[in-house]
Amino acid sequence: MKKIYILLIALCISSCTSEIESFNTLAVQMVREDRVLDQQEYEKLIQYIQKSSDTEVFRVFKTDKASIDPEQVHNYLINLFKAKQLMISSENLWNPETYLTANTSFNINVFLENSASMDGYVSGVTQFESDIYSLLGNIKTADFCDTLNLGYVNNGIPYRKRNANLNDIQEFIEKLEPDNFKKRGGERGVSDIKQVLDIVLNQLDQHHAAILISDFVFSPGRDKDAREYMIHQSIGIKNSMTELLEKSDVSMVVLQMNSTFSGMYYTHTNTPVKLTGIKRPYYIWIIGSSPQIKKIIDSHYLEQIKGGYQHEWILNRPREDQKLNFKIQYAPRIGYFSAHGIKEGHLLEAASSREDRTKDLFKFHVAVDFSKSMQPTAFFNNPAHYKLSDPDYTLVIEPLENSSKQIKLSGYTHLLGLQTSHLRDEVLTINLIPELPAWIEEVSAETDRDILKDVAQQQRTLGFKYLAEGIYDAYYKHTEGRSLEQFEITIKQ
Amino acid sequence: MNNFFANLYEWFGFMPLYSSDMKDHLKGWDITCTDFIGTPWYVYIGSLMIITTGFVYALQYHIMDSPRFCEKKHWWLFALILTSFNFLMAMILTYHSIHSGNHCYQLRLGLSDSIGFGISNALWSLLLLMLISSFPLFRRWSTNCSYTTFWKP
Amino acid sequence: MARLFLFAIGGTGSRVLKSLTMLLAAGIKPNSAKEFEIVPIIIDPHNTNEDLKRTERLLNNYQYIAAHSDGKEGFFSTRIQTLDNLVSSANRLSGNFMFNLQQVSGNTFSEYIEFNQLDDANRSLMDILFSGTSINNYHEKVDLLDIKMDIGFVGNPNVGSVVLNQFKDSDEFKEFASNFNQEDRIFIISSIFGGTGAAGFPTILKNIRNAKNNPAIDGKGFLQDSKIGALTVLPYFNLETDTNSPIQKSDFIAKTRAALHYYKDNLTGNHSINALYYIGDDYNGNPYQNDPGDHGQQNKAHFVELAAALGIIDFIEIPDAELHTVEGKAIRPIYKEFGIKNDAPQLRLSDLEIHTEQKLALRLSQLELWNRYLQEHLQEVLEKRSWCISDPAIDKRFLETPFYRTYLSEFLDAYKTWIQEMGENRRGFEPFQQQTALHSFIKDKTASKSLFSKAVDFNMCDDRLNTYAKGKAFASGNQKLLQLFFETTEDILTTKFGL
Repeated sequence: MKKIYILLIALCISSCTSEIESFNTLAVQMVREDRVLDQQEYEKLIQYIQKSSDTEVFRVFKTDKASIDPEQVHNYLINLFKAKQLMISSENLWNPETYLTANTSFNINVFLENSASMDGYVSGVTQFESDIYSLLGNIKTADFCDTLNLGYVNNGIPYRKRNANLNDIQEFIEKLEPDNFKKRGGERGVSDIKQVLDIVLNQLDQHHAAILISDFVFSPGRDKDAREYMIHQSIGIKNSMTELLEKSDVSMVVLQMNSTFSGMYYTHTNTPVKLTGIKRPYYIWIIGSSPQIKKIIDSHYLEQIKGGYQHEWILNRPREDQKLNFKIQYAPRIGYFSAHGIKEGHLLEAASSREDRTKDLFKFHVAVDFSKSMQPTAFFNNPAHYKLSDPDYTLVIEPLENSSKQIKLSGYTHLLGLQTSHLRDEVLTINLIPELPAWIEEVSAETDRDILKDVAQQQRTLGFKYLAEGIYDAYYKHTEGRSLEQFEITIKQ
Repeated sequence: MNNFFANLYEWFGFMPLYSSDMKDHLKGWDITCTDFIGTPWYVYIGSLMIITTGFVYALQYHIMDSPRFCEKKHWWLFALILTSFNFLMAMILTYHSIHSGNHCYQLRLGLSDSIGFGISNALWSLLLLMLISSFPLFRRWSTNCSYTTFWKP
Repeated sequence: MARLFLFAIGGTGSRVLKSLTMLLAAGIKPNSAKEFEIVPIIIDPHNTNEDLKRTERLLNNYQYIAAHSDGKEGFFSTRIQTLDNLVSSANRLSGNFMFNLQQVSGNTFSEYIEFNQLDDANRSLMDILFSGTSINNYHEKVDLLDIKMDIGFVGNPNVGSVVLNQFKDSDEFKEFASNFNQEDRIFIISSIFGGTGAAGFPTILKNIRNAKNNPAIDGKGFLQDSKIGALTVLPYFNLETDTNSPIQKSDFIAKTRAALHYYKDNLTGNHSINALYYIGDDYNGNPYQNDPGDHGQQNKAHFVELAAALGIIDFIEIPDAELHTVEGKAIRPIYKEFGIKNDAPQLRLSDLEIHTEQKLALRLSQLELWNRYLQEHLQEVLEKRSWCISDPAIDKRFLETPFYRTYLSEFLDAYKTWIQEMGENRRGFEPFQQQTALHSFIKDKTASKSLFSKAVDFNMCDDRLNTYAKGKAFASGNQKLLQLFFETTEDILTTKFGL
């Protein structure tokens, strides 16, 4: 009798493993030796989830009753391995998403604007040439790039080299001399940026992205009011972009570059001024569908441009397809809230602190994953981009690094601390609304009248602000209330 | 189920014997601090508590069912064994889960939480045993212990 | 219900009756087609006889206890009635089992026969018939005619036969006769070697068979052809040699022989008895104290008495057809003796013949087990075991009821004494071991036990009691105690001891 009793107890205890525990154990076993979760192992885990009888627990991996969300599985596994102190990088976890994305490539049309004002960037061996060469060389070899097409653009596309190979690129760069520009033709006298942009944008579709390289200096012509012209251009560009954005999800990266410039500069009155050996800004615009741009950004080729870029500005529309991944942290906190509802973004039974030191304060932390965003991490470090629906809340932003002490917050890029002394029932909305980057003002000039002598004017671009505003407005002005990223936290006492 | 046991072990909010972090851990707050998908200790230990209580009840009243063990002092002996077992089980299992790192790192858990839960578990097993054996509903099937309760004979 | 009128004559008669009472208490029942109730009639002039008093007390207790038995199976299930209980209350005699011998108390024999008023011729005849001496209360030698009759006939059947002849004119006899039905039977127990019994038996038998000629009674026809059995006890014990005593062991044989001669002509010879049981024992064991009766003859119970009691059971079991009587003559008289398997000085159940053992072992062991439980264990578990707690409760209050405290306890004490005495006697009968663990309380038999079955102890008894008590309704605590223990002990003894 005693034996039976003991046996029964042992049985009871040994059976105290939930399905999720078994799942965890299985996953940990798979990676313990080789620190890699391959496709076969991944599929085994997916099968486990599918076969599981405990639908309640495994619901976190599912979008609906039957479909498994690979992203959720991926995130869970990353967190699990971190919690188990298994240092496994995201790349070593097989993920159907990366697999799929790796297999979708697209064509890239590279447009070099060849108005006369560009000649100064290409005479001799310049920083401009080496920058472009290194960028194009990298992109050509990138797995997302199917075909690289090279060409010049002004009022049309006077020259084109389709399906360029590495030799073609080399040739394209090495032959970047004013003579070539002239020879390969086109209307080189006027820089109608709107027209150039329209030509480039017209070439875009889901199989084609574009890289536009230009100094983006407005050339209003001798008889025109420069300011009026620029505003006019700005509106035109905005309209073009708006039209395009209504049709398709286009994102763009604007890189401000610097290069030596030796040649003729045409002022807004179209007066040539010879500048020799000075530094001049120029710009690389990378335009394409959001996934295309995301891939280019994620490839980090832009950072690898030989001379580096001065500034980066990424423009993209709010992601509508994917929800922002955020997670309310159980701790640290001030006051109390129930763990129930955290998953859904609800703080239930919320209560302010009763301790003397923190009396009446309520604070919680939200880990947010901005990695899916095209914006650089630095963008999210800036409190100016955050708009809270309740101004009583103060925000503290802490960027998370994978190797930091916050190791177990892997999968999230930022930890937002939200604190208030006026706790009330509400839906706290956190919006991320980008502002026009400050550097645009810095590199933009209202006039180039004294460019010969004025170093500051030499290092600025005439009317670049108007151009940028046109694009900014197209992206963000008319989408008011639709911020770049948004999430809500329901607070109930 | 989880909520049922949670209410039970937390004494319906009147007498918490352990921290609110422990409550969430027992509800199954998972290792990745994501959701209540971890081991649902409440359900497990609660079920085990019910099973062991039922077993100890059955052991005294129906399996052994002996005139040697049918007095109230024997009832208390069985109750002592049961509560000790349930105390240790709840304490050791949860402490082991905490100690082996199978919990959300954000939870602050300690031995005192495990002890508190162990006490709660032991008390419930005692109450349940009292309940089962106080009404003649089940024990009337017993031959030798059909009149045995914690207060007589 | 048919009745067995049981005439127990003299000290031996009382002792056999006591044994019978024990057997009936143990639940031993005749295996007969009809149920019989026993109506004992004790005939003994020796009023102060301890055996007689003990037996009478025992019968009273039995009667009270039996009134609470359900009467079918079980302890005390056979009814024992007093003669007066059979008649309507108006004519009721004193409520006991005694046959009231008239004018015996305080009288001498000569006074009884009114010797002084006889004419000379008759006086001379009396002198011849009742010559010799006997002994009085003060151990002085007296003439037989001067013997005081209230100490019995002290081994003088010639005196006894005269006195007992009054039987036919007594109220008891009339009552007995008028209550006697065709299906009833009569059994007479007597010793052949004493005074009262040896004289009483032929006298009573003669009076019953000659009832036809008795103008004072009813039911004469039934009586004349009634089925009569008798058991005559031959000498079975040794007696201290006491030259001063009128009772001598050496006389036993002579008297027995003389009586048998008499029986040959007047009892067996003329077929006036349907069944006659002879029982005796020539084992030369511990002698009894030689007490002529004045200090209240109290002999230890003896196995022969138990065997004799079994004879009564046996008689009841004989089918009516075999006891056919016509005109007061048995058509086919039956004569029986009793034997044992092993001639041991200390008998155990296994020393008995198989039939005897079968009859005795189970029920007697049941009574023993019950007694041991009540004596040794009941107090300990009172109000603690299910069977005690369930209604009607066996609790401290129950133990204070007259049923338990007086009647049952006294009866079981008597039983214990009876079984002890049989054990101490030589030849002895000691079926049980005292002061041993329960699993070996029967000599030569140890309860079976295995890995999967419980050993026999009081806890095991409790377990069985609880099992049997479960869900059963009992009319009263008394009935519960009787019925529950009968069923439980039967179960334990059959399953565990293989009885």
